[in-house]
Amino acid sequence: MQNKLRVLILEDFEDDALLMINSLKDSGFDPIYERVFDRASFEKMLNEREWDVICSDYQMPQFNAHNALETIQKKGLDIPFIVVSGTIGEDIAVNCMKKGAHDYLMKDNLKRLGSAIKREIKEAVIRKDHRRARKTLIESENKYRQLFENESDAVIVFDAESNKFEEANQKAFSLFGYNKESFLNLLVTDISDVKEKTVESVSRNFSRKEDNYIIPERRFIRKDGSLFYGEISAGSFVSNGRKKIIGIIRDITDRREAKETLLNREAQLRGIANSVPGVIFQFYARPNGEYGLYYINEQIKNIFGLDVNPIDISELFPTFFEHVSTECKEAFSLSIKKAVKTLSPWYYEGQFIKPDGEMIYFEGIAEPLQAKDEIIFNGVLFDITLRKKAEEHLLLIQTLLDNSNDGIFIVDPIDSKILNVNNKAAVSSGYTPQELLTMKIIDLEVSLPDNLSWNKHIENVRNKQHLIFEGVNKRKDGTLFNIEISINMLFQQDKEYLIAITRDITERKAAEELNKKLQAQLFHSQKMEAVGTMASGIAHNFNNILGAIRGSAEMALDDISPNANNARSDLERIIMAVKNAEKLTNQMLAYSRLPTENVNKIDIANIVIDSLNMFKASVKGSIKILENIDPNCGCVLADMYQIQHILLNLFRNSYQAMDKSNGFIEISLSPLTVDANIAKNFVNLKEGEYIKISIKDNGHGMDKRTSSRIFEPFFTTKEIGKGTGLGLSMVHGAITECGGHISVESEPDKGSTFIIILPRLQTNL
Amino acid sequence: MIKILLIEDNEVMRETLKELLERNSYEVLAASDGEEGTKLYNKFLPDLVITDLIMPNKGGLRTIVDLKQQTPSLKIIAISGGGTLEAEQYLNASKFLKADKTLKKPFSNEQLLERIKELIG
Repeated sequence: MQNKLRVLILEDFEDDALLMINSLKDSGFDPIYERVFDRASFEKMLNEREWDVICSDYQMPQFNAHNALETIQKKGLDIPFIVVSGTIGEDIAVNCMKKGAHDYLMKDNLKRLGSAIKREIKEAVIRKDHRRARKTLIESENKYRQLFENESDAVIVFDAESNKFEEANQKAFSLFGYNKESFLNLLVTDISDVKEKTVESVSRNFSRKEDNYIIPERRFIRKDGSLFYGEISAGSFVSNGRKKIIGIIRDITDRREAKETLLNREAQLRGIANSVPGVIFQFYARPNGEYGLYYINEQIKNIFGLDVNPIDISELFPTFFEHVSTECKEAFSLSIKKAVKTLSPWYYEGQFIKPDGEMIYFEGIAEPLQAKDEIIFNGVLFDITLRKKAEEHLLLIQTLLDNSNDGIFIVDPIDSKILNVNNKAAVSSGYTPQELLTMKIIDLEVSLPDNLSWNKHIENVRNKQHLIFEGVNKRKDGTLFNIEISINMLFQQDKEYLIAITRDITERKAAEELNKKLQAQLFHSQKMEAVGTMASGIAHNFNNILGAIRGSAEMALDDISPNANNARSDLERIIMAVKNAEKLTNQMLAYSRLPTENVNKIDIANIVIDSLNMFKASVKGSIKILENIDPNCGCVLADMYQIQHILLNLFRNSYQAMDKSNGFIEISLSPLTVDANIAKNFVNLKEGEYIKISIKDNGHGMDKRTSSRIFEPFFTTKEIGKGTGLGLSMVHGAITECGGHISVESEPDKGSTFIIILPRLQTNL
Repeated sequence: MIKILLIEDNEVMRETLKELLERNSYEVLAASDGEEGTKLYNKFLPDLVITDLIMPNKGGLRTIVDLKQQTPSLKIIAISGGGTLEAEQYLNASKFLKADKTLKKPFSNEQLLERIKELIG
């Protein structure tokens, strides 16, 4: 049934309680009740359950309505309390009402109970609502009071018309330096440093419908006259029919300082960013393929010459790309794409054409960051033109040094360790550059000037700073070669370096040797010529003198009588002597020439063999004769008898020089092609085809002094009167006239080898 | 008397030859070189010239050319002991230049006298 009613009955008589219950039922309630009659139980019931109404007897043995009411009030409960008694009079009733009961009924008039309860329950609800409302209001007020007081900013309330303060919080007092009383006597204009503005904004607010406004910055003035900046946000409300303004003032001194510090720092950073020697940039790459710049510092103008609109840099990236040099554009583009795709650091080196046409080399580095929906690259660009030029220059020098025809070594003077080499150094020495770099100069067994030790040598170089000397080096394969070394000391960064430039002078030396040899040959030739000329001259005169002697002697023969036998013989003897002398001078006159009347084309092999046979016959096999004759040597243009005579002359010389018991002569004949190489070793020989005859013996040989003069006319090693000394000079003259060459190689006790070279006739004559 | 101009640069040879020729009844004028010889020729106008070839101050070959040019019928005997080249070569050259006879030193007196007789009797 609807009207459930929870009734707590204070009654010691059960019947009376039942009467009450019945009455309630009649009134339409559905009572749920408990009956108690002592304090303890009463309290227990109150504690354990909730009650809609308490019906109480006035007096019970242990308890009464007064006690009960006290208990209820003590507990702070508000439950309709109805006193139901049979015996008490009006004044007791009034007393109970005063004590807090809500109604009073007589037990014999319980008809009114129901309606009284209904009424009281309604009242209780109203009271409850009031209490709730009040509580809410108080709580709300407390809450706002708390906020108000504890607000870290100053809160002020003032009348919008009179500008008089009505309320302010603790912060407001301390902020402005007043105590509560004096502050609340102020007008709002008293705290503002710009009074007109304050009045203006207040009235503006007053006239408009705006409820809230914020003044971000206003100068306020404290009690002591000092100024500070504050931010004020204000709102309005109506109270007692008047418009009030509530404002929150925040001291923004710190904020301002912070802002200024920030601005300064920002200016500083901007200054730094714009003056670093590079272009700082922030680049974005969007998934839709869009590229661009979020930031670029001013150096883009100074270094790359691009004008940048500080407001709008959207066109900057395309413009930059335009100026990347044509050959580099593709690589540049690819490098960016790759970095974007793989989210890896970007690096690029390329060429850029500035708007004024100047070409620079630049280098770019950037680090990627994955942002929410794009990739950001933060990086720098540098002008590396100078570095590139230096690199190119270095490369040039490197190439020059590497390809230099001289070997270059850089050496540590302390221990001769090889620090660097060029290619030629490696090639000359026979080691690879890598091998050389693990070696020391002393490992190459270079002969040092004056055979000094390394340290003494270095001291020498240090004193002179520069030294050139010749020496001998050893290659890796052990061969020795002549070298010219030019050394300089270099001092760089607190360290000394030895720079050695080496030139292989083997060829030069060989050329020098050859030159010496040719000079000697030429000198010899000239000497021979001179001697020849002299001999000629002497012989010529001699002929005349002899002619005079002979002529006179012959005349004398005519002058004397046929009987002057002694005189006749004497004269005839003179004539004979003169004839001998004439023969001699003839030989000399031809400059030891043999008569060349019968010059013919002769087969040289044949003539050599013939001569040899003749010679063999004359020595009767007492010495060994070795033959090495190439039969295909062709022909020479010469006098057969002359050649024969020459060969026999040489054979005889050899024979005379040897110990007959174990002597041998080796005769060789072979063709010889004289090329430029060979020709340059001989003063008289030209390039062409020749034949070579060599006559080698194991006789006693000659010393250098003798062998160098052997072809001189009148030079003889034989005793006076034994040899004319003309034989070999005749041979020399004859051969040389043919366009050939004769020479001897000999060493004491090692025998001699005569070499004759004659021009061979061309076969297609 | 047959006149012979002798041109020979060697003194002792010159004197010997002059002695020989004079003993054989020739009139001899001797010069020591081609230049002197050429000068004397015009004064002397000999029948025969005997000239050495290798001489200083105008050699025999030149002298032969000049004299022959002047007097083509002049008889000339060239003698030579040679120089840088063999005597033969010089003498051959002189033949080529129209010397009538050549004689190589050393020669005997007889040889010379014979040549002279062959040329001018």
